[in-house]
Amino acid sequence: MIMERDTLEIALQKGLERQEVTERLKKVLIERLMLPLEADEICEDSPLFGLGLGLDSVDALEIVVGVEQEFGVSITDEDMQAFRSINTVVDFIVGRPWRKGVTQI
Amino acid sequence: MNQTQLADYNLVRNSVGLFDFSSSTKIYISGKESLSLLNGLISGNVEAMNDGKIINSLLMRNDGSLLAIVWVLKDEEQYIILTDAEKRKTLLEWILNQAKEFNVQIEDKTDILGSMGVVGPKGQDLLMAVAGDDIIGLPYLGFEHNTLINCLICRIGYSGEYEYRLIFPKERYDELQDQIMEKGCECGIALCNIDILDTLMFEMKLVNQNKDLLDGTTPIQAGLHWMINFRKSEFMGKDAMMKEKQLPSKKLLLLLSEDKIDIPNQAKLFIEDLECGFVVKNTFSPTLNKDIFLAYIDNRFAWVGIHFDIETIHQEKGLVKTVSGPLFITKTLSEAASQ
Repeated sequence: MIMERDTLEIALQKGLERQEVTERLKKVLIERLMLPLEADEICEDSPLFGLGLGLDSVDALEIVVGVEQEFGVSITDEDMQAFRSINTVVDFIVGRPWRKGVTQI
Repeated sequence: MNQTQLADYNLVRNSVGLFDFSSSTKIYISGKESLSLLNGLISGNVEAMNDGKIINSLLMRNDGSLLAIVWVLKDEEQYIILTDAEKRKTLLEWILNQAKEFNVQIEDKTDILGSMGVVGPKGQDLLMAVAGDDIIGLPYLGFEHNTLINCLICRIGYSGEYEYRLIFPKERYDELQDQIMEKGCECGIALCNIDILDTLMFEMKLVNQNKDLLDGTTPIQAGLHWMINFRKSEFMGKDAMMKEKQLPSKKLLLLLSEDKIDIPNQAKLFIEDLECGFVVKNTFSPTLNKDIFLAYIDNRFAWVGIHFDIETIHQEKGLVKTVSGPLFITKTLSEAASQ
């Protein structure tokens, strides 16, 4: 991984783009799983399963369907390993080709 | 990380380690109004807890500042509060003070109960060998009174591996340790230094309340949202949390560097010349073979994927990038998923 310095402009832009995908993902989770939460009550690094949001395997299937529909990505069983927190799911989404309405960050 | 720490780390991430938690705080609360008391003090939903269940939650002051992160166990007519040894005095004084008007009994059993932790991907198999096959059915955030070895066994922890906490009368410590060491011999079990748990939880982006939370840092800034039941009608610190959650001034994030960087205490982060944050903790992750950092970052830039200049002890600045937590899938989770 080669790191390059960000300018302020690029950093702000990256932040806005990441925020947009994150907010869309949180909305999908809240609606599909009927979570009694607002978007600003979910930390992006909170674990999804076990600690954190305490979701289960049934919820995991709902998340898969929701993410596939919202972002136009295809998710395999192996891809599910990425689903550990909101941030790791966002990493997965922005890293996929042919995703709906998502700028590569 | 020195050789001993690395050995402990590798043992816990690949096999199983044993930890002495005897000095950790253990407060028992019982009595008619114990639920009312705790539900008002703790940010999580104590009322909804069933017997045998555990929640990981917070006690805050009215201004929203953090008092302690605790595990709360509901054991029929009593609640057991577990937390770090460092929080014992503060927490006990606080609870006793708040409990004055409540019909409750509060016992600090820290000095009369011993505790040990069995941690690692082979932890479940080991504990089944010691405490019976039923251990396989003990869910994360559950506990049982185990009749085979006659002690309380909790499944809690922050390492991302199987992590069992045993609690028992202090005089039984050597007896139980001998049993566990004997059954764990084939796995190479050893007594590990409790400090390594900080690295393990760091990799899982879970917060060490004694090291990562500077004075005045709020639970929202530290990313502890999931320990708070925002729908609960009332708990100490709620008003402050509800105001702050909409726009925290800073957030705690993980960062990586590609190169080895030597940094000063609370090293600053910059983008161009703008100071954007500071590091609270850094260590080496043997699993990633990289230096990892935990930093508070200005809300505008507190997103994964951004590069920052970082202050070093030399003339030149280093370069780090924000990354997602947890940093990787542990062996425990990976093996559980494949079953």
